[in-house]
Amino acid sequence: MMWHRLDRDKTLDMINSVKSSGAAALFSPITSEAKCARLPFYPNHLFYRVTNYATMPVFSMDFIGDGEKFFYIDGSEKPITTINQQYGLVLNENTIIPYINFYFYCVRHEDGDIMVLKTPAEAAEIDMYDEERREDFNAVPAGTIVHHDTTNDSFYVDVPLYYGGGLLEARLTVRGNGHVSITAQKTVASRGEDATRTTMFY
Amino acid sequence: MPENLHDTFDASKERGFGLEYAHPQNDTILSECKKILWRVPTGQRLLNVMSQNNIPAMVVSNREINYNVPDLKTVHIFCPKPAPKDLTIVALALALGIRDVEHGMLGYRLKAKNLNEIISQEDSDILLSKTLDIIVTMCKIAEEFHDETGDTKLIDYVQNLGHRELYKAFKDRKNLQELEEIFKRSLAEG
Repeated sequence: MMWHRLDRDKTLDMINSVKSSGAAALFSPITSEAKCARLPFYPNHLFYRVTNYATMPVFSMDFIGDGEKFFYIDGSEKPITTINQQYGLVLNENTIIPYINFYFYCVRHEDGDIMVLKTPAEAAEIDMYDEERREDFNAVPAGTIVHHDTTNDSFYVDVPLYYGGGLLEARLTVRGNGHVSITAQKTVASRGEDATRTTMFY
Repeated sequence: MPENLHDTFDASKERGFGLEYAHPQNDTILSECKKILWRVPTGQRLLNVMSQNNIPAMVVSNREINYNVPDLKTVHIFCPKPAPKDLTIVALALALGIRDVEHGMLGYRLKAKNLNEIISQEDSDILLSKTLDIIVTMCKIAEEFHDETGDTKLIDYVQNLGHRELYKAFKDRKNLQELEEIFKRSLAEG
């Protein structure tokens, strides 16, 4: 992720925009830093992160914003679907995988972390606490084929997926509204098992 | 949308609208977390500290599970929305938050207002001690939880955070100095 750090004045302005009376203690203008990064699928919105360095552990809060209005990434799908509906989502062969990576990064699943892997072998060594890897939204699995069904405005992508601690060969469906679902899957290996053998389900 | 990210923020424009961070399942999450912690001795002790000192806690919705004590006295637990069915890790976050408040009550307070501005040896030593103590508290709760339930999820969590060697040393009942050496070595190795 190519982050751009906001200067002090812009950081203060952003914090003043996102702080609420009910949780003012979360944001400390003196001890917080803000940065932003472009998202290829959102032409008018950036990914913002405010990090509070006042105490350990350092914590961050993420937002999607256009500089005026900010949507808080709270682990639910709501902020993403709101932006998709109100401001539009650009999905094409170049943005679909970054969008899927971003979606799984922001929307927490009840079964735990989900992540598109670069290769099936990555499942055995992936470090889910490696922020740099998790924020690499542009990581595209080798040989990925994207199918765009224009009749129902959906994208279908077959990818190796880290899911529930193991490796799946999954078909992901991305609707025009941006909702991502796993519509077909085949368990290849649990964590620690040999993840180099792969079988496409068709 | 400006091409230059430097100009991404126009302070002159009207901005902001209501942002709510309080987790809608705040009460349920806290209640369930306390039940989980009450199952283990260290959890019981920390809950008693919380009760006896009226330490407030609130659940904040966030993408990641974590905790923070921004004002030295209030525990903020971060939890995704909706809350996961299994709140064990969230309960651990509550325990660590209480312990963090307890640090302040015991006199372990940083003088620097910003972690990026820590320059005194005293503050560095306090930060190291606090951090190590939090990790050891995690190890204690993880071990006790496993002894009580047979479930290794907290042990797995501690190890996945990078504290495999420290947990092993804790299990082997190494003394504080030895734990500190292992921790310093892990920090140096990055």
